[in-house]
Amino acid sequence: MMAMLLDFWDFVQLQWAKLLEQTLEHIGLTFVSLALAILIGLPLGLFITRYKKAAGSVLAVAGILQTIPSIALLGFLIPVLGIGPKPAIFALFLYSLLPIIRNAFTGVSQVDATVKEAARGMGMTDWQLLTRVELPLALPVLFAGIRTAAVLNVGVATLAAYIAAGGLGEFIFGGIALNNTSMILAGALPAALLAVLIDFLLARLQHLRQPLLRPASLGLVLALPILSSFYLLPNSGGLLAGLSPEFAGRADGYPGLRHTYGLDLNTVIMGPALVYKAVHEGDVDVIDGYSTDGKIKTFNLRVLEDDQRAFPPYYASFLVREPVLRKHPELREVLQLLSGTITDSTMTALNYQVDFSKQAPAQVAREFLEQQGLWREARNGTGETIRLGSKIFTEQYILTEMLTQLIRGYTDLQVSAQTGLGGTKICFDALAANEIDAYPEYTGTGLQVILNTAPTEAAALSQDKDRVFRYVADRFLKEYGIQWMPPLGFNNTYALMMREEQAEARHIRTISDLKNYMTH
Amino acid sequence: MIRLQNVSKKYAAAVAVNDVSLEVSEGETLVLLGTSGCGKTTTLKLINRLEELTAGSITVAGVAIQQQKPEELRRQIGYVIQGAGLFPHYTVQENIAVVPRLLKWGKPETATRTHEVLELLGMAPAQFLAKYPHELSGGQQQRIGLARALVTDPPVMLMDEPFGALDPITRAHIRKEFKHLERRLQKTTVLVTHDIQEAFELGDRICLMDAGKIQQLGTPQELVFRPANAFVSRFLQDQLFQLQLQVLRLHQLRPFLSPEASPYPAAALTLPDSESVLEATQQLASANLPQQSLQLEATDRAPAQWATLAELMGAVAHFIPTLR
Repeated sequence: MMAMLLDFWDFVQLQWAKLLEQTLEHIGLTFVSLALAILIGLPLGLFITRYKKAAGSVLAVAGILQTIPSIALLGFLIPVLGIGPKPAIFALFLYSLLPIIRNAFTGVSQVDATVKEAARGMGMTDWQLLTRVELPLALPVLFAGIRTAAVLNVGVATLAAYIAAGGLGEFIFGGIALNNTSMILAGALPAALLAVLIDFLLARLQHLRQPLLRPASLGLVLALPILSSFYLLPNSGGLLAGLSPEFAGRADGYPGLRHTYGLDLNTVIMGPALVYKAVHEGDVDVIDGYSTDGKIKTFNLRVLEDDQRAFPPYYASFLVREPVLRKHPELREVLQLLSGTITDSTMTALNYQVDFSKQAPAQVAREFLEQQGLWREARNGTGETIRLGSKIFTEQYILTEMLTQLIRGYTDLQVSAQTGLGGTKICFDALAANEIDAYPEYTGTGLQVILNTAPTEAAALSQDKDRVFRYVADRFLKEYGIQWMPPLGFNNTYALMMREEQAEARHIRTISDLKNYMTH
Repeated sequence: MIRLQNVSKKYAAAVAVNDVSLEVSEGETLVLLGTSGCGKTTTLKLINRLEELTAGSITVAGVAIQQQKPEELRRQIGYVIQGAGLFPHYTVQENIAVVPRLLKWGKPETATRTHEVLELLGMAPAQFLAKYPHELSGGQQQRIGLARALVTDPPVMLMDEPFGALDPITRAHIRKEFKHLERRLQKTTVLVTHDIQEAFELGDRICLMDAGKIQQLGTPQELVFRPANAFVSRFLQDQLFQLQLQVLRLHQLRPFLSPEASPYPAAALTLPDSESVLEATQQLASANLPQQSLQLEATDRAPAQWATLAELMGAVAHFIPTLR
């Protein structure tokens, strides 16, 4: 616990500038959308106090909007508004609407009928009744609505980081992706404090006595644009890079690039699933990705060559528990059948067939094995069951499927596959705990994530792919009793990518080219 | 001052006011009396257009109300409602200044009138101006409601159950105050109530309504002694004796009393002959005088006369056949 706090403190000290920036962005994001919601929701709420027939349907629509899960709402908005601030602000705006409309409506409706009758009886016009009597008396209820919306917004705004709109979610997503508690806390703690603070301040406002309420609401009206202005739109000068949270935070990701190339991009953070679409649609110009991703082909992207080897090699191979290999020597032979058979472009094509031609991984695996002359009819043996695992992405599904078909065709062993085991940590823990027998892994991941090799040592090793392999194979066997099978051939490493036409027009082939383009 | 001609108000399902015609002359107080749902409040609200009439016509001070904007019409008419309806977010001062502000009066003028009207109602301005309604008692709130209606000195006042939300004691008290005020200010007033006592105490004339129609429109004496129909008799039945005493004035008893003044004036209760018989008997009963005797003050036309309580009741019997 103490260590965690110290880690956290170190992290905050190191990243305070970024933390401040994200906090301001977060406040801005919250209040821009809140201001919009008040601008639209308040008149709408007042309108339905006069046209009660419309009240039911207006409140129902706002209510339905509120029930859409926030992440899904963002998903719906991306095709319409793209990524970035627009959909984020719009989504937060939609969430704020219900409490504001409903409380404006309730606040005005619950004003004492006698008071309203007196006002009309003395000769107030409808407008005077609204502005001098109903609205001032509805203020506490209206403030309660604004308070609900604001606190809700602070929470939901963390999701904005998922679609490149910034805010404290950047640290939270990065921290989750990297399994870095300090980083998660650095995002979550300020977000929570912000929510508590806003809740407290607006509660004070809500419970003010009458003579102070009117100046207070005026103060709020003035404060909104100021708070909103904290949200400065991401700088749009030059090339914009859209990075996934994990890449942005990992030592061998963007920080590694900065270190090796001195590259300094304008960056926005976004969900890993969105980067390809974002670059394709020109929302950003440079993204990170995996070098064998099928989407490279779909979106016609150029993978920039890592000419100074900032990214460690990530050669794919199967991890197998040693005791299983000893017990079933025939398994080792089967596993070696695939060794060196899959190149980068082959793997990209296989991924593409599943992701975009919508073929089943089993089908794609079988066609590949047939081409290689490796495929055999399943023997339907009744031997022991080998348990295979895979992480939750296409490439791993295909590799696991290949291995399944080979084991069934070449041996009498049976296979059960547990695909979709989430990330590295879950798969490796399952293997180490003897819950599965084998899964596909990458040398770089073994080096950095599982063995937690010191950055300098990792960097030194990473210059040579064979040394990395020998190093991880050696240590895995010694420390965990787990065997790395010979590499399958392809290197699924991190890569920077750009749209082909843009890269061509600007003569960018390598990351060094990119760096040179940026500096002049 | 106010004239309703064949006025009706129909809703989709019901007729609230059915062919009502009446006139309120200048300075007169007309009470609309009836049970709830009889149409009395709707009739009142038709006058300041809080309800719009479906048939007939209404004029206030000779001008058809339909020819004026509702807001402008209402600003010319004082309006007092049950529970006062003060604005909770306004101070007493701001509450009283509502109509002056709507009429765009200057600040000094408003302030002067606010002071005047508060003093008229027996409330010290310094003590109350800065208070909020929730800091006032029910009776004080009702007085401020009255002050708010009176501040612009409108010739016409509409009052909807103005004392309805008060406890009986405060209510009787304020009613008495109001009665004195009415005599001084001579406003043309239409007052709605379901309280028979209140109607007989405050009304120069009473309009008893049922099912949207006028059952009888007349002075309190007319209602008590010449009920127009069975409904009126039934309506007043429970309190009839008290009402009879209440509407009878002492001067009406003069012919049936001894024509002499009291030999012991100091031992008799002396009252003006405009006082009601009810008031006189109540005072006599509680005065604890040896002979329970009453002396009527002399007027221009009549001498002082005196009577014991028994003689008084004997005279009353001439008006109330059931007593004989």
